[in-house]
Amino acid sequence: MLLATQNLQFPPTRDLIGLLPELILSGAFVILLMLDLVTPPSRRSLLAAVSLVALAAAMGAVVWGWFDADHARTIYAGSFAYDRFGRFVDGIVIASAALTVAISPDYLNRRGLHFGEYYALILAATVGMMLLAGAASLIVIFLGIELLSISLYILSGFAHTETRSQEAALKYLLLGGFASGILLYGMALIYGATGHTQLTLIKQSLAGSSGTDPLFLVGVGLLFVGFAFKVSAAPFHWWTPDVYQGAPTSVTTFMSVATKVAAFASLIRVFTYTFADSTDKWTGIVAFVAIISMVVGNVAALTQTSLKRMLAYSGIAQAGYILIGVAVSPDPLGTVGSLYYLAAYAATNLGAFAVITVLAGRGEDLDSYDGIRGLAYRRPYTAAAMAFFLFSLGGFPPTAGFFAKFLVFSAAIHAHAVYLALWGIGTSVISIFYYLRVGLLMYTRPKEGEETYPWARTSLAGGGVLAASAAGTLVLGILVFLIYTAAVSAQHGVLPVPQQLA
Amino acid sequence: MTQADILIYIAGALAVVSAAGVVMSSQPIYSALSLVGNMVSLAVLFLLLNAQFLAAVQVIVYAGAVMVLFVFIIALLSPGREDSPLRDRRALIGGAAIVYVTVQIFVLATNGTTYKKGLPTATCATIREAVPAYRLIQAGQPASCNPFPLHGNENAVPIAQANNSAAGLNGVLFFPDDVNRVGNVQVTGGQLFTTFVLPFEITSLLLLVAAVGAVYLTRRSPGRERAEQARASRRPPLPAPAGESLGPGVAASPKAPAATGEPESA
Repeated sequence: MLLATQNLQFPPTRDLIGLLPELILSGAFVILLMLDLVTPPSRRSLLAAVSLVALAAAMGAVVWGWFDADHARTIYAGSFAYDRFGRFVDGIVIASAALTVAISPDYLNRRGLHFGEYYALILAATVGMMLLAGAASLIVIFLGIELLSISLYILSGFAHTETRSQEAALKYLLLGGFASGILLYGMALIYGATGHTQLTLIKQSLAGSSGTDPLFLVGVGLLFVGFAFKVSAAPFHWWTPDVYQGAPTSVTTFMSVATKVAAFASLIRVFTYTFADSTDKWTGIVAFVAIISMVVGNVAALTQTSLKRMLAYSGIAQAGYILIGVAVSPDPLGTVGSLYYLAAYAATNLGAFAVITVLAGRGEDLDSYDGIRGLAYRRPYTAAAMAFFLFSLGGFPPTAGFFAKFLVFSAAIHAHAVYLALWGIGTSVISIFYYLRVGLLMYTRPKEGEETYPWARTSLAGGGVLAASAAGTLVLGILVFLIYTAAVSAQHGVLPVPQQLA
Repeated sequence: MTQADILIYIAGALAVVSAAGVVMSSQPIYSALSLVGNMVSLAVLFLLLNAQFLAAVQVIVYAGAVMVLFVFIIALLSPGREDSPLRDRRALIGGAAIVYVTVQIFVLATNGTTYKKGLPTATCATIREAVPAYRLIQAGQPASCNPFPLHGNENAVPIAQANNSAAGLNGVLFFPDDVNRVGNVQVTGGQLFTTFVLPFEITSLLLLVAAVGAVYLTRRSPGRERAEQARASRRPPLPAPAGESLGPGVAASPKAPAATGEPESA
């Protein structure tokens, strides 16, 4: 009787449809844990196949959702946004997860790490990322970040007989926990200033005010620090090189791409769209962090002699480029540019890390620059693919990286932030040096009698993943309008809806 | 200054002091006990904010169950004394600087924020009329019309009026008097399974993942033991102390002291 007096409204059952991809993967997570108990160790590749089936089903649900989410709406009492923006990002995340799972069995077998929990945790992290991408409430954003982070903490330490992997996991856990605390503090202050956790309601409550409430602004600042940590933007990037280097390479492949994509999606949703009325208060800080990231990432990458660390610093620099799209808000071109950049970054960076994963032999992980010296004379196709990815990361046409940078920089110019474009172009020139250095090493003929790294034989799955990443990089670089139109469509429907459209 | 105000200051001061105790004690067991004190002070604050149920949960679950487990584990591992951060001058100066900056920011933030003492009674009545949840529980005259016990926010008014109508949102403002009339547990439970059902379910998945991780990282499967034995047989004597190659953080793991201790005693 008491309950009746509250007149509770349970979320309608059709809301479940909006969470279909997440539900499929969560179910697969539980099924994998149980299958792991009955699968003999020699047949663990079966678990990879099951994960791939689940990911394919989830991808189907996402594609269907793309058309169904034509009219964006929030579900579960404003906790989750069912819109094309979320589906776009979900698609990238699921594709990254699927490609990672496909290269994992061979790599894990060579490293003696083939355990069933691996696939379950990858799927759990994917669910976390998808929840983060669609989260329309501060609570769900936090839980999504925690779900993906905790899965990745464990995956970073997956090689738990290796000190380096343990160190990576512990460092990631401690710094990640600290960043989560800051993020949560920011959320608490925003809740205190607006009285709501749902983004739609926060946006409504901000509409009347000038957005100068200091409590709110401090909250926004702390929230941005938390996000900047997750997307590894400088100066909150200290964990990135160590964790990327220490974690098993297949985990790094997944983590470097998918985490960044999901965290950026949430960052854009919260900052560009929820705090849209007070953009002049925070775009300066975002632009500053973007410039710092571009400079620090690119300059630090120059001096590296480890492939994984180089790609980690390169990832920090890429985060800076993507942040330009946020710094020019409320210009919608910025969001489109960032979305395109995320897709291009995912295809390219996943490919580059996949090359290292596929080549890694038994024993010592392939990491140092010396390890790829003369690669082109033994594995010409793999070396060509790696060179292609490096070109794309450096932003040469006709690759994905070129158009991604082009769109982001043109958004900056469109929004009269020419200095951001200039910083971007300037630092891109620096980046060419270290990308080309690795490329040249691969094409350096090894001296007589010099021992090369014992590269692993590329399996069918590994070759397929490299081909898929290369194809993705090429398609994003040539058939630009395919993804560009999708990004524009995703931007149009993003929730919380701009006030005048509501 | 009412009694509640005085209590808030006492509980708040206790919370700060005990939180400092958590990071400054040299014995882990004192840190854990300070954490208990911190949680109890927070429970008092919850109580003063009209969240009786949350206060009870805080005491029973955190201070009672979780901390007992903590203390158990600390007693089992019986870690030694650690250097108090008070001895390390650099840490002290750095910590003091961070505390100073943070306090300044929050003083600025709270001073600049204009708090309103509750809502005008007329708007309050409108909200109660507009929201069906309140129409039924208006038996007595409400004593206070303040949605948040400490400070109201006028921005909240249009939202409360608009709620439930648009986008299926359940963003209802709760007035302490009304909540107390229905019951704290009922309101919390009702909200947990309607407005916040998605976060609630994600939390269960999160806990499952954490459990899987804990089991994976601590279990020693036969395969892994074989691998370790193979590695041990390849390198006959234990080489350099394993602790040296670890990062500063990892050295605190329980295995490291044993590994470094062996060569010394031999």
